[in-house]
Amino acid sequence: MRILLLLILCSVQSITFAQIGASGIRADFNYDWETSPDVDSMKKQTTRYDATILKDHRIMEYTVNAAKGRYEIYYTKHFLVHLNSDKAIEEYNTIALPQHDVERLVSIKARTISPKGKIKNLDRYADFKEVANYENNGPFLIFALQGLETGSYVEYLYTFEKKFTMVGTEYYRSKYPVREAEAEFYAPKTAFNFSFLPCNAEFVDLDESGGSGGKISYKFGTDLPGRTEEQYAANEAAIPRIEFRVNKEGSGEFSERTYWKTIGEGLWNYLTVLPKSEYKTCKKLYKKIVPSSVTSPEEKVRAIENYLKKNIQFEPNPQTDAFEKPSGIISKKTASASGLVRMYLLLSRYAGVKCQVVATLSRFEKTFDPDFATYGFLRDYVIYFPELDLYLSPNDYTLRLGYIPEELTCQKGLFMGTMTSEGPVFDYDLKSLVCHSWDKNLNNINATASFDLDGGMVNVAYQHTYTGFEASGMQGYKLVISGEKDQQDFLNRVLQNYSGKNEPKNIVVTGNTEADLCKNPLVMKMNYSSEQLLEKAGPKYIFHVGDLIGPQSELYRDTMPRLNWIENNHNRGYVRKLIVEIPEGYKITNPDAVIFNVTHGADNNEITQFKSVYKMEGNKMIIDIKETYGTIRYPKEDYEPFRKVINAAADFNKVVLYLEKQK
Amino acid sequence: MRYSPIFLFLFGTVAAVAQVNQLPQLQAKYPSENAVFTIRQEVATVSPDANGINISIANKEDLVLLTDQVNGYNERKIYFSSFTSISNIVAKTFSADNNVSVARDIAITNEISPGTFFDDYKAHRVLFPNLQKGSKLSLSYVEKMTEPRFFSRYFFSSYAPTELSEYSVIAAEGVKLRWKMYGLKEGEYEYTQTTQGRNTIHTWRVKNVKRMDTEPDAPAYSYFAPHVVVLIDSYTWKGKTTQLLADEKALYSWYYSLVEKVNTEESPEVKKVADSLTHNLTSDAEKVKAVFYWVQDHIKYVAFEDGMGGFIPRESKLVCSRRFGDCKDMASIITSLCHAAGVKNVYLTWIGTRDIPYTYEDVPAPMSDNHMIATFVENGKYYFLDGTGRNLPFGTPTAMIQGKEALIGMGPDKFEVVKVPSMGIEQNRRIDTIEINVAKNMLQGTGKAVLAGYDKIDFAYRINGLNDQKKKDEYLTGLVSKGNNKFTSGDFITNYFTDRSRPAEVTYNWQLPDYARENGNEIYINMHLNKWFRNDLLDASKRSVARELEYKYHDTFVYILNIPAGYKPTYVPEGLRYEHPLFNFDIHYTAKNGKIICEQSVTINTLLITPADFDDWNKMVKQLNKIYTESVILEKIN
Repeated sequence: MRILLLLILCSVQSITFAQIGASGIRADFNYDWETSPDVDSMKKQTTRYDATILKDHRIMEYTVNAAKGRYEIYYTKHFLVHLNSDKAIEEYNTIALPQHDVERLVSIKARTISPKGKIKNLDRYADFKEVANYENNGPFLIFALQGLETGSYVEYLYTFEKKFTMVGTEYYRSKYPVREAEAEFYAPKTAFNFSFLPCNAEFVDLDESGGSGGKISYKFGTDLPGRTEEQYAANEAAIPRIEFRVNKEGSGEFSERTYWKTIGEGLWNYLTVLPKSEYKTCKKLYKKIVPSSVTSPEEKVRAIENYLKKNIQFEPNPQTDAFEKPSGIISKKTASASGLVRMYLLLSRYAGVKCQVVATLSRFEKTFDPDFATYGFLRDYVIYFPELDLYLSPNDYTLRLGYIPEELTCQKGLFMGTMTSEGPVFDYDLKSLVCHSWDKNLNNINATASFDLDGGMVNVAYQHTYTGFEASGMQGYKLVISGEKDQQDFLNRVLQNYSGKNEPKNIVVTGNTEADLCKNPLVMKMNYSSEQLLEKAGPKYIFHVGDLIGPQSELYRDTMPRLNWIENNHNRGYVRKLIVEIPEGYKITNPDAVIFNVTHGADNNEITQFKSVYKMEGNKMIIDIKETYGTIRYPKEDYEPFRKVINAAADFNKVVLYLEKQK
Repeated sequence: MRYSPIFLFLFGTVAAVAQVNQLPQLQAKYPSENAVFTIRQEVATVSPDANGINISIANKEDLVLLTDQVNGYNERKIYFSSFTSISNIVAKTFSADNNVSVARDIAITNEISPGTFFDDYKAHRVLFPNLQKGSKLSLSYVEKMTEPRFFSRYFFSSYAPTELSEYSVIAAEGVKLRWKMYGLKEGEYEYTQTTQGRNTIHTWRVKNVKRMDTEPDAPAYSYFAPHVVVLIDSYTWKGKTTQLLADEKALYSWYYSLVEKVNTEESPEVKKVADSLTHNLTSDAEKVKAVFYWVQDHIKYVAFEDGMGGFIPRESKLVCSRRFGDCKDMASIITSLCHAAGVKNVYLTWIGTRDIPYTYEDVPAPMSDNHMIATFVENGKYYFLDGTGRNLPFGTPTAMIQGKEALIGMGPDKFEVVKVPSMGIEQNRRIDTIEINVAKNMLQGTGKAVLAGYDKIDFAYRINGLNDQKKKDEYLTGLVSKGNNKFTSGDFITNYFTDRSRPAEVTYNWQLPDYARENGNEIYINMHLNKWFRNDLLDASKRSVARELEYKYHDTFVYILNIPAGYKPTYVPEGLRYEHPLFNFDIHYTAKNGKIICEQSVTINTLLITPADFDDWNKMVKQLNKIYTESVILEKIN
């Protein structure tokens, strides 16, 4: 789901074309690749990696086309890569360029340069293919490079006229080193200036002149190491990139906050300025769906949410504007992302529950930076009810009031407007969304193990309790899979995870109805038997007590220097109580094997820890485990202690107890 | 669009029946389903005229939503390609109280097939509005086919159970059909043949069709899904008969017409490559082998399949210069290079991968194949040359065509259909020999793995030509991994992964911390460092579909434990064998000369474990599970 990127042009409309004149339309643009590339000097820049990107050069030029009376953007990309292996050839021998934001293809060329410098050009007409709507992702331009062998270079250069936008992001996404990553920006001096936010890399200013010939210009450059994916990381958000924004020239210096205000106001008006009839439609609907007996604000919101999530389909890529406004939504029972937001806003008005719209984006995609105003940070909508201090996701149908997609939590966002019972009022703020503490997302186990030594079996009375995000995945999944049969299959798969394939018995599952979603814990109770928990060593028994908690995530082999900061999906806690009923005449010879104490951070709610202790009561050994992840984000310097906690759980999973006959 | 009156009559009846609100009965009948098709129907009209043969298929389906869980049912895609066109799409949602909403949101999307860089498959994406419990989603459209050889098959089951699933073919006078039913025995479907005027109407009808479920590692859908294949043998118009797909000969004759104009002239570029590869080779087999290896190593797989481009190989000189192509292009360049090297008995060959269940005899139609290779025939021996393979030795087919029929084109009107062999357990072997030393709780030592057959080919694909040492070590660690996820390994020496003529070898050092269990004077070591098929039971009561394996194999692990100084073995478990012609294992221990040797081997001698074999399979798995719990005991000598 994506917020429609509105062209609310930050008052750019007020610039008149007459002010600018006809100059500046690409007359002086003559960027080109080397006609005869010098392979010897290119070779010197290559590395031992499977590929090296020698050049990734982007040029973004804003111009004014006075003849057509419009602004235009010309986007040029020059890419040159050395292919040092078969794998790299297979990666770069086909290129697919998305065209959804392209107005017009100005020029494109591509070639292969052999290790000895022999050039093979692609034919402009025969070798490039346009695909109109690739998997409903819009148009693509595709081509395949010819005559590649190990040591070849692939080079392509294109200029597109792009659809007009005031903001953008240039990503430098590469698992191989980039020798020259450059970004250039141009605009007519009289029309625009730029603001930049370089992220995740040191981009140096290559051109300090600020421009000439009636143009302003900026040029950044850097070289970049290749990137690999890491676990517990926001890999996408950590990619080197430049965020940019064009501003109207000569309108005075605005603060970033002022830009945010303009953006927020535009978006708020877009959502709330509607014909009176639309409000009336919602007033009528509200009366129909929320009985007057419901008086608590929270219950009113829940009733609205349940109605909408049950009756209105969400369509992320609408081809019609019928799904934007309440009247169309109610008649078609289908809504776009902003259509759903309008439904919540208008219905809340008649419920008399104040609500705000929050726009933000996944923290795994980008970190929302309040100090740089851009639509690029506004991808997803959330509804916030300030009096309840609760959030709601309008278009995630597997979540309910109180929980929004985890990637939007622990992230900042733009809070805008308040819908009151009197109508919409604009205000705005930039602040953090909810970040649930670990005790709101629990994944707990209570297990009691007893033994049938003659049969070589361990019998386990088992209870698994999930809350919050730990539960919602399963509770919500149940809603989107069709039919009882699939749901039963799904449940069986979950159960098998914990008990091997011995058919669990006496299964009681509670908290798995729609009404429980994001409200009540999901509890699975069962009895199971397993022969795998008990190994034999002659007359002695080895009891795999660690297996009672199931397989655990581990970072054993991950010893490379860490590149990215640590990012958890959500804070969470695993509280386990394991009771071992020692068979008569036997003793456990190594009970201390279950003791663990691995922690990171101060001993408060934000601690990351794996602690395990035990006590003996009669013939029972009672083990208490507390594993918590209380801090969503750590700097990369904290990786080692964090890894130790993760691995402690995986170590516990391998702990065994020895059962020996008492002498 | 031309419809016969009968055709309209058929649809009229169906529409009237479906108008009745059946929600309560359907809910009672399908208590655990969210949706049910009350009808799925296709009516094909096949009629010749002066210009050839017209085929149009009228499709209709009604899906009723039985519960509140209506999410996910609103989107429907109608697929087409350059050989078909879609028209008259009508999509409507009828509410339980019979209000009608018409779907107007219909967009065309490109639906590129997986593994293909470009093809011309597209879909109309229809969005049904206004869904709620009790809604009936009614869709109809007409598909027109321009190539009669792609006619036709119909699957009776779908993603929701179906009350009535029906396929009809209205064949005009002079149209000769053949049909064959798959996945249904006689009595499990109704077939009627009636005559109306000059038309013959064939109808296949199945009631109460179960929902199609998928299972992990299942063979392709068409192996078990009930469906009927209907082919047009020939048609006659004004006394003139046109052969289409009467038999293999007719199919081949069409295929030949598609390729006869390809590579008719020898290109200097191709000749130059052929000469450079074969100039010092004398035997034909050596020459073909050199060509086959060069193509595997130098022509990258990139599939552009556009219209007839999906059926006609490109000129070999173009493939040679581009250095890329799809399967047909690789077959094209293999044959051309061999011909240029003077070996003429190398032929273009049509073949279906194991995703396709049909034989050419039963289904002499393009739907029986989806792939092209080259075949070298010498002294009655057939060498199947699949250029899309990597690291394949000469004489080894790719795993995906084992056991399939190859249609070898040997010239005008000359072809052979030959079955590709499946590689046996003698070819696909792994032997991993591991020396184990005990250092407190840690096990460590050296290992040597020898890989032959598909095991080697698959692994060579991962590591050959990979420069990233870290990645390579990760793959190799994955290959030799043992015990649990604390296993680490390094100092890898790899040999013969690029030599197709012999098994590959990997030697390595390894460590497994905290694996040995020290308890007082004793150390317990579970020597099952690879637990094949642990817990891997197949439940015949829940699964009706066979499990497919990529290839047959025989793997052996030899664990040699050096008893640490000052210790003696006090307990060595018993070994165990399980005998079965399709799958078996043998685990045995020997203790001598300060060592305990545990040798374990497992054999999978089939490509398909059918439900009839599930009981035997489970017996094996249960025996394995039992033996996996046994440890060796070493005791300190006082």
